[in-house]
Amino acid sequence: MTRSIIARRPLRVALAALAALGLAACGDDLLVEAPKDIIVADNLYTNPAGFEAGLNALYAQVRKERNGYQESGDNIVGMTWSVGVDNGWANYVLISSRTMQELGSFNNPLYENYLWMWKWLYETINAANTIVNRAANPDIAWTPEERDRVIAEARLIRAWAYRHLTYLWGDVPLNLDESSGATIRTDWTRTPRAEVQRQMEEDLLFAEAHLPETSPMQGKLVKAVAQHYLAELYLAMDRPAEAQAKAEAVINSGLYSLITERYGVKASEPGVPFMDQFLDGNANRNQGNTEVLWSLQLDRDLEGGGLNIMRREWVNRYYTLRGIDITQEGYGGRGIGRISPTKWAIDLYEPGDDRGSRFAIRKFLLYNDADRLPAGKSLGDTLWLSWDEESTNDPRWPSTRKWDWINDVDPAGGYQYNDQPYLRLAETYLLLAEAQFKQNDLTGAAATLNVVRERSHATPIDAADVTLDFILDERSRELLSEEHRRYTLLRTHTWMERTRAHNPLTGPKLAARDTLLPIPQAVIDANIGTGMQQNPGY
Amino acid sequence: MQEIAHLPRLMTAAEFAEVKCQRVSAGEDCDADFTATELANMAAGESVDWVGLATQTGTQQQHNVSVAGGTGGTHYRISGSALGVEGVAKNDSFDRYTFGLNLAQDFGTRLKVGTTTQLSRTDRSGLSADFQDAFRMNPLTDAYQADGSLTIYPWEEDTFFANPLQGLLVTDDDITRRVFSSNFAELQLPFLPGLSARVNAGLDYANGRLGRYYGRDTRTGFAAGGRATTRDVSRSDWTLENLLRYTRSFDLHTVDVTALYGVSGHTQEDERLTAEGFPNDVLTYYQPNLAREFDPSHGITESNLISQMLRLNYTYASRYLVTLTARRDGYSGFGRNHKYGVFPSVALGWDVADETFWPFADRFNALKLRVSYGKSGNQAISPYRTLARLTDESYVDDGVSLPGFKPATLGNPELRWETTTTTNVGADFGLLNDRIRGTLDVYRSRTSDLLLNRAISPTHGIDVVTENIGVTSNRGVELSLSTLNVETPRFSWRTDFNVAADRSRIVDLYGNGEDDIVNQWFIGQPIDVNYGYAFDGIWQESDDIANSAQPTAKPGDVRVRDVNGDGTIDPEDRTFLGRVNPKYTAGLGSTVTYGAFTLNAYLYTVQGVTRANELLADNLGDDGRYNTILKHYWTPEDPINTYPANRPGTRLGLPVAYYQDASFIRLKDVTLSYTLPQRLVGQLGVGALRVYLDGRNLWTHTKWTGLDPELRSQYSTPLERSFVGGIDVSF
Repeated sequence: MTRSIIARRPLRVALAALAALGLAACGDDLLVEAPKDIIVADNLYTNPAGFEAGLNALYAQVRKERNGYQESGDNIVGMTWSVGVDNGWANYVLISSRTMQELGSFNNPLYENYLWMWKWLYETINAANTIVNRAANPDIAWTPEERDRVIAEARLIRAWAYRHLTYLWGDVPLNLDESSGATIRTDWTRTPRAEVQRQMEEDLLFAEAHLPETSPMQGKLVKAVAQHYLAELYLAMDRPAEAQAKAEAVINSGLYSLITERYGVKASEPGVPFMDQFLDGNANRNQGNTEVLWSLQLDRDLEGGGLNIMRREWVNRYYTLRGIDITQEGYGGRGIGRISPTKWAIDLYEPGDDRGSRFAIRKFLLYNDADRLPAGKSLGDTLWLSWDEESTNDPRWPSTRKWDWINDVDPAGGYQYNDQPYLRLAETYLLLAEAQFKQNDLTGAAATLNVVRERSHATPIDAADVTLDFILDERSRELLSEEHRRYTLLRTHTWMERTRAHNPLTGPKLAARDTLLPIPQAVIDANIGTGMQQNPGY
Repeated sequence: MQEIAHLPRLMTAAEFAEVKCQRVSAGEDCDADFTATELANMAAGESVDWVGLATQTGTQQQHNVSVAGGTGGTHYRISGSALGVEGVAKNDSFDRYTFGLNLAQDFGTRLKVGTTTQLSRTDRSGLSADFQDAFRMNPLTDAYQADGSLTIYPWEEDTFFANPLQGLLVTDDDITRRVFSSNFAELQLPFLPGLSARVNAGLDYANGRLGRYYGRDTRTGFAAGGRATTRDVSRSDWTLENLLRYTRSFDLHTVDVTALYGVSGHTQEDERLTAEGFPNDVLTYYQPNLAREFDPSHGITESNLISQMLRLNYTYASRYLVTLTARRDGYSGFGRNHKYGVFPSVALGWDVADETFWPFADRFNALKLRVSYGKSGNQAISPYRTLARLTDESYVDDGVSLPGFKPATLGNPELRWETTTTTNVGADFGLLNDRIRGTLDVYRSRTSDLLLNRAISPTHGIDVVTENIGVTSNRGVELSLSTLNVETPRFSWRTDFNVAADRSRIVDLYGNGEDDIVNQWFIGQPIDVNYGYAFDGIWQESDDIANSAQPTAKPGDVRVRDVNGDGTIDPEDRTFLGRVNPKYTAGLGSTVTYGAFTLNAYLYTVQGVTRANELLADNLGDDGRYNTILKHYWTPEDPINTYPANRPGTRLGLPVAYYQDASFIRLKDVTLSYTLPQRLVGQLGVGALRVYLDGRNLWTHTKWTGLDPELRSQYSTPLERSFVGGIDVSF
C-alpha cells in the first residue's frame, strides 16, 4: 500500500500549497470596478437608440403630472393648479389640497410637496440637458436632421419644465448644464423670469424648426405642440401678435380639427362629440381623434405603462352613497373626490351646451345596488346630487366625467391606465382668442370663440360679448380639470380677483404673496452660508 | 411561550365612531358620513380588534446536540441544532436547522490543518398580517365573511383597503440555505525556530429562495388576477489570508511579529420576477409562463478588499508591552487614485501590580495600565458610488413598451477612506483578591473624511451625492465592574455592571466653518440631531392669538415655539429637539446561587434619548378613514395643553412632530436554573444535568407611549415577552 504524498512529504506539500495560494491572491485588478448591471451616461448616449431611451424617460417625467406627489398614487400633483382657483376646490381634503385651499400658514417653505415638485422638474431639466449636451458628440452615427429632432424633443420638454417653474415660483435658477459630481454648487441664484422665458422661447423655436409635423407614434411631440406653447408663452410675455401667429400656424396647418361628430368606441351610444375624445380607445390620432396635439400614453400591463389618478381625484366619492355600486359601467369608476368643480363652474353652462350636459358633468346617479338601497328607494330611482355650497367631505357634489374609466380586471381599483389628451386644438383656439382680444380684435376673438362654442352647441356670441372674463369663463367651460387653471389666471393677472369672486373657501384667505409659492426651504438651505432669496411674504 | 409585551391602546369601534363623527361633521348629523358597512357594524355593536386577530401566543423550541473528542492528532466537534419559533404575529414562523463540524488534524509536529464548517437551512415561510394596516384599519369594518373566510374588501365601499390579515392567506415559501466554512493550514517552518506560516481560507455562501403568491382571495390577488413574486438571492463572501508569524522569547524578552496579506470579496446577485394575471390560483407561483404581465429584474454587486498588515509585539518581563501595527487596506469602491489607506497604531501596556515596588499587593492585587494611539479606516459605502448611474424610467406608445433611462446619481471619483484617529487610556484592575474586578477606558477620537450621503440642492436634478466630508470628534468613557458580593459554600451573589457614555460633535464640514442646514449638520453638534419646529403647547381661548406669531390660529390649534422671538413662525424658528444618541447606556447583571439553584437577572437601560412618536401624529385623516391610538383631544371645556382639538388642520400646515423621551429601563432576562447534584446525576447515568426557566423582556419602565422605545417603527410586529423552559444534559 502506498502512502499518500501528504502523509509522506507533509512539509513539501504544505509549502507548495501555501505558495500557490499566496500567488493566487495578488493583484490590484481586484480593486477595479467592473459593474455588470449598471448603465451610465457614457455607455448609453453612444447611438441613436440610446438617445431615444433618454427621450422616453422625459415623456415619463411629463406623465407624472397626473400621478401623485412622491409618485404616491394619491395627492395628485395637479392640486397645485386645480385647487384654490375660481373653478376648483378641495372636497375630501388632504394636506396637499388643504395647502392650496387654506393658504396662510399652510402655504409655507417647509411644505414637502413643493420640494418634491422642484426635484421632479429639475430632474427632468437635468435629463434634458444631458441629452442636449451629449448630442453634440460628433462620433454618433446619425444625420443632422435626426440629431436636431432629438435635441428638439429634449428642449421642448425642458421648456415645459421651466413653464411650470416660472408660473409656480417666478424667478428660478436657470440650469442648462448636465450635472456632475465634480461640480456640486452651493451658490445657485435665481434668474429673472423674463430671462428664463427668453430661454424657453429659444428652446421652443428650435423645437418648432426641427420637430416633424406628424409622427407615426401616438405620444411623440410634433411641431404643433411647440407652436401651441409658443402662443401661450408670447401671451405671458405680452407679445400677442406673435402669439396669434403661432396659434394660427397650428389651426391653419390643416392637420387638426375640432371633434364635431360622434366617433370611436361608443359612437353608437348616447353622448356628445365633445366627450368622445376622453374615452379609452379614442384619445389618439390613430383612433380618430383629430383634435389632439399631444396625448399621454399609458398601459396597464406593460413595462413603462405608468398610472394615472385623474379619475381618483376628480370623480367624487360616490361609493359612500347607499344604493350606489360604482363598479358598474356608467358610474365613472372609483373616485375619491379630492377635487371638485366649484358651484360657479358647474353653473357656468347654458342649457344645451354639450360641455355641461349629463354626458360631461355628473349631476345625478341611478340607484343600482339592491343590497344597500336606502329606505323607500327602488332600483333605477334617481339620486340627485346637489351643489349649493362648497363644504368639505361632501359625497353628493357633482363631478366632471372627462376621467370616467373602468377596468374589467379590477373594477374597484384606484388607478386608471388609459391614454389621455394632454393638449388639444380647442385650447389653441382659446389662446388665439386671448391674443386677438389683447390686440383689440374683438370680432376676430368672437369668431374664434364661436368655433369652440358651436362645436358644443353653445349659443354663438358677438364682438360685444368678448371680455377677458368671458374668455376665462370659456376656458373653464371647455378645459375644466384639464388646463393648469392657476397658471391661466396668473398669466392674465386675474387669479386673486376671480378666486375671490367664485371660490368661497379660498377667496377670503388668499393674499398677494400667494401668487408665487415659497421657494422650498431645502433649496435655500442647500446654498450653504449664502441661502437664496425667498419670495416676499414667506 | 411568547406573548405580546406591550400594545398601544387603539380606539374601539365605539370610540372610533365618536371621534370620526367629531372630525368629519363636528359632532352633528353624523350618519351621512358613515358608510352602510360602518352603520351596520355600529347597529350590531361589532368592533374588530384587528391587532388581536393578527396575533397569538407564540411558542419556541430549541434542541442542540454536540459530540466532541479527539484521538491522536485529531480534534473534532460535531454539533446539530434545531430551532422552531412561532411568533406572536400569526404566521410569523421561523425554523432553522444547523449542522456543524470543527475538525483539526496534526500532521507530524509541524503541520496542522483544520476546518470550522457549518451548514444551515432557515425557513421563514409564511406571511403575517400587515401590522401597519392592522393598527390603522377602521374597527367598524368586517374581518370575515358570513362563511367564516376572510373578506377581500373588509370595507366593502372603500376598496382602497385590503384586509390587513390577507397575508395569512398568501402562499409564501422562503428558505435560505447557507454554507459557512473557515479553514486553515499552519506550518512551523523548519529553518528558523518560532517562524510559522498560516493560510486562512473562508467561504460564506447563502442562497435564499422566495416564492410568494397572492390568490384571488386577497385584494392584491383579486385586483391583479393573481400575483406571484419569485426571488433568488445568492450572497458569497470569501477571504484568503496569508500570514507569517515569528514568535520567540529570549530571557525576559518576548517578540511576536505577524505579517499579513489578505484579500476578500463580496458578491450578491439578486434575480426576481413579479408577474400577475393568471388563469387560476391552482399553480400558485409555478406558472409564470401564463402571466398577463411580467416585471423581471436582475442585479449584481461585487466588491473586494485587499489587506496588508505588519504587527510587532514586544514584551519585557511580561510587565511592559509594546504593540506596533501598520495596516494598508484597499477597497474597490473608492476612486481610482484613492483605493488604499494606511493605518498605523501603537499600544503600550504596563502591568503595575506585577512590579516588586507595588505597595498595595494585598488589597489591590491587579492593575494594568494601557495607552493606545492609532488610525483606523472605514470603507462603509456600497460599491459603484464613484460612477454616475442612470435609472430606468420607461414609457409606452400605443401599447408598445419604450425603455427609458434618466440620470439618477452623481459619480464622485474622489471617494476615499474615512479615517479615525483614536487615543485610548485604560486600566484593568482587581481588588480584594479579585473579588472586585473592573475595566475602565477613556477615549478621544477624531474622524476625518466621513463617508456621508450629502443632500445637495435639488436644482442639480439629483439631490444627494456620496462624499468624504469634514471632521468629527468623539470622547467617551466605558466602565465595567464585576463584584463578588457574597461567597459562602452554599450561597453566592455576583453582580456585573457596565456603563458607557459617548459625546460626539462636528468639528468642521467644508473648511469654512459653515453649518449645513439642509443635511442638519451643525458644527458643535453630533451628526444626528432632532431638528425642527418645537411643539409649544396648544392655543387657548384666553391667548391673544391675533397679536401672536400665529395670528391665523384658532383655540385648540398647535402652538409652535417662536424660537427667535421675531413675532413670526418661519424656518428660522427650527431648533434642536433633544438627543438622538443616548446620554449613557448601562447594564446590571446579578447572579445569586443557592445550593443547586442559580438565579440570574439582567437589567438594561438607555437614558437621554428623544424621538418623534409617529403614533401621536394625527393619523385619523380628515375623512376619518383610519383608526389611531386613543387620544385625549383639546376641547373648550377641557383646555389641555398637550394635544390639539379633534378637527382638521390643527398644525396649520407646519411640520411639527410630537417628540417624547424614549429612555427606558428594561428587565431583559431572568433565568432560574437548577443543576442536579452530582450523586443524583450518577444514578441517572448522565454527566451533568441542568434544568432552567428563562423569562425574557419581562418588564419595561418608560415614558414612551408607543409600541416600544427600541423599535424603529411603532407600527411593526410587537415585541414579545417570552418564557422558556429547558434542560441541558451532557454525557
